[in-house]
Amino acid sequence: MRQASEWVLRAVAIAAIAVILWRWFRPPAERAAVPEIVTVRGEASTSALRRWTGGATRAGHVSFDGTPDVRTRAWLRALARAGVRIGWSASDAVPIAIAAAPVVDPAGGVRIEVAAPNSARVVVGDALDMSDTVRAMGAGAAVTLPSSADTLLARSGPTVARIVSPAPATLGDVLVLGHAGWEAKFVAAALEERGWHVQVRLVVAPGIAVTAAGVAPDARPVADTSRLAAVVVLDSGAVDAATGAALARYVHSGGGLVLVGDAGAAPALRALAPGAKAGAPIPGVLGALDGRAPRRGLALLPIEDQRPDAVVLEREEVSPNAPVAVSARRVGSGRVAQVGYLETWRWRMAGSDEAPAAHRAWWARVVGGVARAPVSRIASADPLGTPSDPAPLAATIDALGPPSAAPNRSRAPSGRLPSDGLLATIAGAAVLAEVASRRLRGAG
Amino acid sequence: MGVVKNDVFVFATAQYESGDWDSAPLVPSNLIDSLARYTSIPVAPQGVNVPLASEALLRYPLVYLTGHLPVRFSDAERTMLGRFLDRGGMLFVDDHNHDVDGAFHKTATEELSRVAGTLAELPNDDALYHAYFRFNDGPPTTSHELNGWGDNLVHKHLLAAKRGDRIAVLFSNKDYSSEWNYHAANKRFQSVDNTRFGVNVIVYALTR
Repeated sequence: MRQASEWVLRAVAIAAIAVILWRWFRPPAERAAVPEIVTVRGEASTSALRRWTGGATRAGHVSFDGTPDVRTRAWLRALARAGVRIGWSASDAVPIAIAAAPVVDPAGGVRIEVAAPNSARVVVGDALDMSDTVRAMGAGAAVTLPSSADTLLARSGPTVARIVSPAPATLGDVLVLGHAGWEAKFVAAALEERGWHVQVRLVVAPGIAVTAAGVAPDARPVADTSRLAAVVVLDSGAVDAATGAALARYVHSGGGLVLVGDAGAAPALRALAPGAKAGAPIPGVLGALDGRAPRRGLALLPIEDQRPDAVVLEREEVSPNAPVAVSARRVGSGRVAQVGYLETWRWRMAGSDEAPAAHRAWWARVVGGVARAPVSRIASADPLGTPSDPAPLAATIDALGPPSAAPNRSRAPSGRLPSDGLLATIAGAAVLAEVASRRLRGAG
Repeated sequence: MGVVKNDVFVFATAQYESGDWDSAPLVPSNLIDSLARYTSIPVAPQGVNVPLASEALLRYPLVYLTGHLPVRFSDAERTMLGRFLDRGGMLFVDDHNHDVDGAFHKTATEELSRVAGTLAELPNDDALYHAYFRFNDGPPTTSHELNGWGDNLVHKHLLAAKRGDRIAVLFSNKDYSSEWNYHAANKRFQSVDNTRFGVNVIVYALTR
């Protein structure tokens, strides 16, 4: 009986040692990986990543406060591709994205658009000044900042999206076509005062036009449009068939066109206009020019029969059914805006003290919205070398896969089998018990 | 409700409290007639008189002012004139006296300098002189200057105060008010229409 129990103890010790040896020498894919859990706060925990890189770590899980920066993300992706099973989680990360484009205006500026969850509070700015706070409405928000040569940032919670500030837009001239009159004078003046270089061709008599160089025959069509950022046409009589055809080609190739008043009714321009017809004239509201809605004091030719691709930009009043005052559409590579207001100069002359500046800014926005403004260079990194990371959470998911729950530290990592330590203890105890039994039996 | 207008040019004469602002009542109709004859610019058949101190001044971005007598603007007139010029309006002033250093000249230039800044000689190659008709020698001489009245006073330059490169105030000592203060029908007795420079002033205001 004793001898049988000694054989059993010997078998148990051998089995335990065999399991330990099998675990050590089996192929890596069959080993149950023990993920090391690392919580990253603020900057990357480079020591953990170094350990995983140079060591025998088979699995790792990282918990971020926000999202990893570009370098950390790239490192984790490299580890994953090298065979390390990487899991990650970021419970406080906010799905935000940032985009920036130069404002098409001689005054410069950058328009920042942020995608964020509805009602999320987002702080935007550049690296020196994060002072503009916006709240996302629907899918995001937009803010315009003065020109910045710095990196632009959007922060929501612990998540920071960053993008290099775009280069300023390259601006050409604005050409104003129309009949000599106060509207032509003040539209040209407003754009010039804003910083645009303005050319004019204003008809003063049949076959005679006034340009910057003086009086000239009006029979010439628009000559060189390659240097034009936009053309403003103030009335239908200012454009003959040849000029209209030239403008259509110009718009299709990327130029900007603003049609004011009844300019959209010119036969050569009708196909470009956002509205197929103009409604009956609506007089301006007396006394409104120096009020809170000064453009209600202007006479209006409402833009009707919007084309399917037209976008309404402004109505006579804030009401979804109010007559359309400004609308726009894309034509080919270019854009066309249509303005129904008549004699906007009255707003500048007879409006409030802020009217001249407001008139100037409004016309700059109308022209800037359609102007052709190519970006002459694309900056890919800021001078300090901080890479762009415009959508950090999306980029992390793209690099590392979807987030996963952090593994439970207290669970036996190898499943149903006991740990190596326990097996070694069992083997040692079985050997000692067998030796003791043999001694007591006197077997030697 | 307001009225839908079609950007029609309305000739406006400034009415000020001191002096004889209405000393040249036929000038507006003469220039209106010339503008209608030489250009296709829509023009109202009659001019208006607009008080210099009134908000109505802001409805007429070009205003003509003349007289013989000393000029002293009231505070309200100075304030409104300043607003008018700052917003882009243009004032054309003509001394209805053929003299220099006379009472109208001295007082009017002093008042205008207070509001618009120093009046400087306008170069005779300014854009004004080829805004429509071409005047290669600068401002055309009036018959009163050529008469001389025994004084040989020919004013070679007009004076101007500018906003940027645009004329805000144009001041004349050449007595165009006398030159143009006749009925338009009498123009047929002239070999050269002497109101052409007035057309230049209006076209300049409407295009610059």
